[in-house]
Amino acid sequence: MAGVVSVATGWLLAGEWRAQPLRMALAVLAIAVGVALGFAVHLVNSAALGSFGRAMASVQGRADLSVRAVAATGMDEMLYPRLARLPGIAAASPVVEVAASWGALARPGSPPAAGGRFTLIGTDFLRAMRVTPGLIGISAAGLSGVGTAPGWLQGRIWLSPALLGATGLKPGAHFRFTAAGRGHDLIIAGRLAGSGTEARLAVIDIAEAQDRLGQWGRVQRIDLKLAEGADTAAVSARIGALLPPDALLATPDGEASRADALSRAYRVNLGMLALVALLTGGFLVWSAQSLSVARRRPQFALLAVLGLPRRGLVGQLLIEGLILGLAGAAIGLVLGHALADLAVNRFGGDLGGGYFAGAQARLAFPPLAALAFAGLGLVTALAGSLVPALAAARVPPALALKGLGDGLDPGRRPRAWPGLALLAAGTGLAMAPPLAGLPILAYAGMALLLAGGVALMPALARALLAPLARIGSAWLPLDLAIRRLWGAPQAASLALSGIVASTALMVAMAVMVASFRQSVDDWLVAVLPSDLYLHLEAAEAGGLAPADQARLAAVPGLAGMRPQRVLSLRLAAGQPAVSLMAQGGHAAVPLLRRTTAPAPAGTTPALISEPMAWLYGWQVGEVRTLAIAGRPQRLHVAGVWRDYARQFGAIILPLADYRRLTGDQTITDAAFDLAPGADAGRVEAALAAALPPAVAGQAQFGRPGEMRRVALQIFDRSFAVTYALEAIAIIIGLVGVATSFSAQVLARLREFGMLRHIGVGRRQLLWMLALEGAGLGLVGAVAGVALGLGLALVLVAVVNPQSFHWTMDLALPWPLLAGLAAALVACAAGTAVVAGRRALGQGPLLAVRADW
Amino acid sequence: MRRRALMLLAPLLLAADFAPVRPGVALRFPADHGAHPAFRTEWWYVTGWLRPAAVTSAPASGTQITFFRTRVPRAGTSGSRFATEQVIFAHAAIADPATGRLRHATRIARSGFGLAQAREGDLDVAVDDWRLWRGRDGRLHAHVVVAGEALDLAFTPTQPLLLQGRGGYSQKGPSPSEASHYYSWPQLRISGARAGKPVAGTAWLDREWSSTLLNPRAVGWDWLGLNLDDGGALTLFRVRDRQGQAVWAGGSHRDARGKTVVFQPDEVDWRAAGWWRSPRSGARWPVGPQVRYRLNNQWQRIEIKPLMPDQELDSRTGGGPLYWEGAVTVPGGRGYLELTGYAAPLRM
Amino acid sequence: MHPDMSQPIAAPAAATAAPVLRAQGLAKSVSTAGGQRRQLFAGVDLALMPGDVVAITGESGVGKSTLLNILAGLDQPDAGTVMIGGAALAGLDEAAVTALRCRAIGFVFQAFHVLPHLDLARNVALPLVLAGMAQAPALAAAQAMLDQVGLGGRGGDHPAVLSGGELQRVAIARALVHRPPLVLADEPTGNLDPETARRILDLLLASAGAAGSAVLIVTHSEAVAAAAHATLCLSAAGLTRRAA
Repeated sequence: MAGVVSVATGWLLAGEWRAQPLRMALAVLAIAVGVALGFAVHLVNSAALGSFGRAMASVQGRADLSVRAVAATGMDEMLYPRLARLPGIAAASPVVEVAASWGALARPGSPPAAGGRFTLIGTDFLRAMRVTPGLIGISAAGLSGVGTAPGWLQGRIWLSPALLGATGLKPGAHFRFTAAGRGHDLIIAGRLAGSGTEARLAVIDIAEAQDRLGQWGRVQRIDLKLAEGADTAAVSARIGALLPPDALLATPDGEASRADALSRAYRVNLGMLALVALLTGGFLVWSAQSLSVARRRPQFALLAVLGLPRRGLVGQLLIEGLILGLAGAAIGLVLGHALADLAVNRFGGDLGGGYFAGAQARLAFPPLAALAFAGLGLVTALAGSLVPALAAARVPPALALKGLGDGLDPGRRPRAWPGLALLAAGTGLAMAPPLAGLPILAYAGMALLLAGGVALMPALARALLAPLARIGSAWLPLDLAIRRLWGAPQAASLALSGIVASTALMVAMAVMVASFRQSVDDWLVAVLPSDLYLHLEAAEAGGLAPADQARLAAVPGLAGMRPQRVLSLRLAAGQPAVSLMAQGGHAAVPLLRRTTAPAPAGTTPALISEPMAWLYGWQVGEVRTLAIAGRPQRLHVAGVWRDYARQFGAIILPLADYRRLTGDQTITDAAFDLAPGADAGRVEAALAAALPPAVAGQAQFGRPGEMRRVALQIFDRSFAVTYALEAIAIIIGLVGVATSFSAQVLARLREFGMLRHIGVGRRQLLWMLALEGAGLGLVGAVAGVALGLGLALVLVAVVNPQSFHWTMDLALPWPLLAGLAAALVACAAGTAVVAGRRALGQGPLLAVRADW
Repeated sequence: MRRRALMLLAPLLLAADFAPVRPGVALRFPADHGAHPAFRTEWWYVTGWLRPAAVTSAPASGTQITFFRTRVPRAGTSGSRFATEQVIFAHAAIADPATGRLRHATRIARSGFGLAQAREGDLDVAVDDWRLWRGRDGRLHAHVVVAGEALDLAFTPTQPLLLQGRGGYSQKGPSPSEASHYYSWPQLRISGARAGKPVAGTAWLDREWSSTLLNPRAVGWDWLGLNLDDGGALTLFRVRDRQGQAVWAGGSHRDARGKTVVFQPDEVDWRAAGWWRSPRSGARWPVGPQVRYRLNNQWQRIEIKPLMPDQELDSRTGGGPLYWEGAVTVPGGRGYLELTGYAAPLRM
Repeated sequence: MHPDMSQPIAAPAAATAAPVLRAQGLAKSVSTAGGQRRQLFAGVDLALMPGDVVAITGESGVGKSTLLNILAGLDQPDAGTVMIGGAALAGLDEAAVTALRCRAIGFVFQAFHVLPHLDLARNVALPLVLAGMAQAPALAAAQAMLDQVGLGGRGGDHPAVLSGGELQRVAIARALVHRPPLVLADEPTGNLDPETARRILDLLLASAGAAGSAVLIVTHSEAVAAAAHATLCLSAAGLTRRAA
């Protein structure tokens, strides 16, 4: 039987596709765009993550295990011999690791400067050789090893290929750079053997590193090689028993998950947006197939009469969907790869998100992911075809043979409950807690809300138009348009499904971004109360010494200086680091919650950021223990502040307490208040002159206005991709309106012919179509905006807190929403007129005789 | 002379103030068993033949346990515990005829942190879990691990020390400054365990320290140390130039009664022969050289047979050289043969 | 008033053969806008032997097309049975009815219902491939059938270039290509001018005769009714035979 169906199906498909190439092409395109977006986002993300991961792995030298200091200030090096002697450890390699930079660093938002950041590593080459061979230098002679590359030669440095390329230096040249607040000048002895092509890092001898960086007695990590056949879990347990509070054990998996966690929320959200584009494509396929099925209903009826079984009919439509899906998926994959290529070259691997600084993304073609996205496209196309196919198969052929136009019956009331049920289910899911730290359920809820909104369209259109339909209009075109829209809400919803979906998404994104932007702007004003700011880049290992601070404070024209020491702390092995900010003076942060209770005795008052509270579950008023400078300290959580800058958490301590606890007197940042009448430019120049020459390249001065501008610029850039995705979704939606509308117009040729015969003028018909279009557009806009606002609430109140662990205040961009609605109405009306012109140009007389 | 592994550290030798080797310096023991950190390099080199203690008929295997100390000078002062000048390198190998090739392992570390050091005053040199030391009982002890097999050996002296050259001053080239302090300890009786099973055998300790060793024309050397069955000990070496001609040669013969003869360069005649090509490195090694020496105005010829041809040691991945160090037999004795500089010139 | 319409009407030569179509006691009502049911007809008995040509006439709205649909298994009667080739439709599931229709019935419609995007040969061959025939023989049979209806050599044309009469020839060819025992025609000449209508009717009857098929025609046309062996008039009371 299958063979029977396939011969007939083949004939019918070929005929249909010859007859309607444009509509089929558009349906294919809709799927292709969805698949392309999803695939492109996936490719870009995995390329960026891959290169970021490779770069991180290079810096870490691919050790089996690593014991890492929780803070950049390092841990006691005497842990090294203790670890080296543990059973199950074949070798241990102590490592000094600090952030460093060469040349003048570019300020965020300004054009790139002749400088950059890199990781400076000090190793004992003889140990690194066994544990992390990637961190071993090759001398100019090309041979590896101690014999030819004496790593402990003083004054020599080995650079990774990426760093050699970035600096433009060659072995033998002098490399001048800044690290730990001091300038250094070393001769490049060669390049690193196995550090990959992505990581910017440089290696010197560990003794020299400790001397040059003032890091005596401290190392940042100890890399470990396990003995052959050693039980990782048992060894890890033994290591764990040895570790002081300022060290933690990091596994390669943990490091990978840390790299993953850095940008996971951002990537997942982008991926979801891409899937939403695919969903819009699915609505388009549904509407195209529904129209096509409606148009071919008599044909299907004839086939049923001639003996085509019901499942043959469903099969034919599904095969159509399959072909649509296959073609769309194939085109989508090619398109997606090209798009990803463009995006990576244009925006970089994080699409401007700022997560993978310094990593060079490399695009691959992952077959499994390609299959998955092609499969998604296919499923979408099949689902879009299945619904109309089942509907077509249910129609009794004898009825359909009578051929009553597009089968509308104004007497039937569209059902509202399926849409309402979907909306209710969607609302429920949207309020569900996160899965695996991601707002997966909220996204599922959004999809249901969207489907519910679209399903509700016929009832909504009927409800909205009911008053108009009762009144009617003396002007014939308007009257006809209203009655058509009121009488055929299903047809209207077919035309509108795509546009409602994409408008809703656009509105949701626009509202979310506007809210976010407004909140960030308010926040920037709150956190930048001073007149001038100084930040030292890559200075975690050591910033400005007290003498330098005193020189800065003595610069004329200053009314005050608030010094700050920032360093990152790793609280959990698989989590990105938390920022510890020791601030002098009053903390200038917008507090969300606070306690007025005094700090208990023996505790240090701390303010934590919103993500910190979310990620680590710290509550206002609690006392928590944190390892600072190797000793556990009791912190009293005095308040929670809003922070959009540090997604993975931040803790503010009074600078005096930090100095008391750690003995670290350096600072990395400072805020300056100017004396009345002082000239900011002159003061900045004086401050710059007061800085030690070694850190001049790392010092970045900023003024609040400019910093705010740059921050918002970065914000806008990181959402540029989001805007692009939205625009594409809207375009797909509009194309959907155009195709379905023109299809409906063509299907109504006989109606127009009849109207012409009884004396309705051509202009009047065009007016009628334009009004129908405008009416559709209006209904779509109203529905889309309403639905979009609901989705925006989900994004603002659920998705963002769950993904990024911060909250924001809702802000509505009214002009944008109004403009969007107007554009939609105009576009729908225009499309209707264009389609109408074409249809009426063919001559209504022909239409009366037309068979179908 | 020996020994290559130091070459691995050699090129970095700056013109630092190393202690010079001078003739006429009397060796003192046990202090000279210990380290001489002022010199550029030194080694403790144990080679021997092993067999299971219970089964005298079982096939013998060769073993080599070597510790090197090299001084890498540093400029200026440092506050870092890592800023030590001494690097300890150790190498161990087992030659089982049944295996057909060497199994070997290395350890290397800069001294410090209690993980690696060479003691002054008496023999005690360690790197990580490997150690070679002289016990209170006067015996030497070694602990190394090769390919999962622990070697725990004790070496009991049966004869006095053998001072090479002139009272321990051993010239290696035409210039008197091309020399080392050199003594050997032949006929050491081995007891102990290999992978937990008792073993027995005979070993040879070579001890040298120096700051300047090789003539600039030299590309490598050949060395042979034999424990003779009659209780005698024969040492022969030559330093080669690029053409394979001897730049210098020497050695000694001590008979069972302790009478020692030191050879002059013209009393040793060493010709490369018995070439074997390594399938791994492609290098060719003369593993059955034709060697003659003149003892009491009589030229003696010895026929050298390697335990197996493949005793090539490739430590290049660990920063060391490619060389051949193998157990050999001669009629009436057995010991170790060392060949260096055949794959590429050794730089010292 | 009620002659026994379940008896064969004509073709005495086939009197001993089994009827192609036998319907007994068919009744059908439809629901009206007021929610009430209106009786279309009741007590319809009918039997067609091979070679019979029967016309059914009746007023508009009396249910002629509905009767045809019931006979074809496209609609269910409220009462009564339909047997085609000895098989009772009521005892078959939908797939079996579809298969039976595919094998045993040819259709001719007033509105031609020729698929516009298939060429003539494929339009005609559709019943054959639906019945499981391979493509090549099906197309060959379709070409032969097109020859027979005077459209020889035009199998590659598309319906758009054909006149109404030519379209109905295609429909007749499609109805007969698989040599069905029964041809059901619903106003086959309704869309044609009288001259074309006459020629098409002749063609239908001649072709059906050649195939040995029984033909049941629903029509308003006196000319068509006159060409049938018997004419029956459908009313709410059932079928009554009209004198020829």
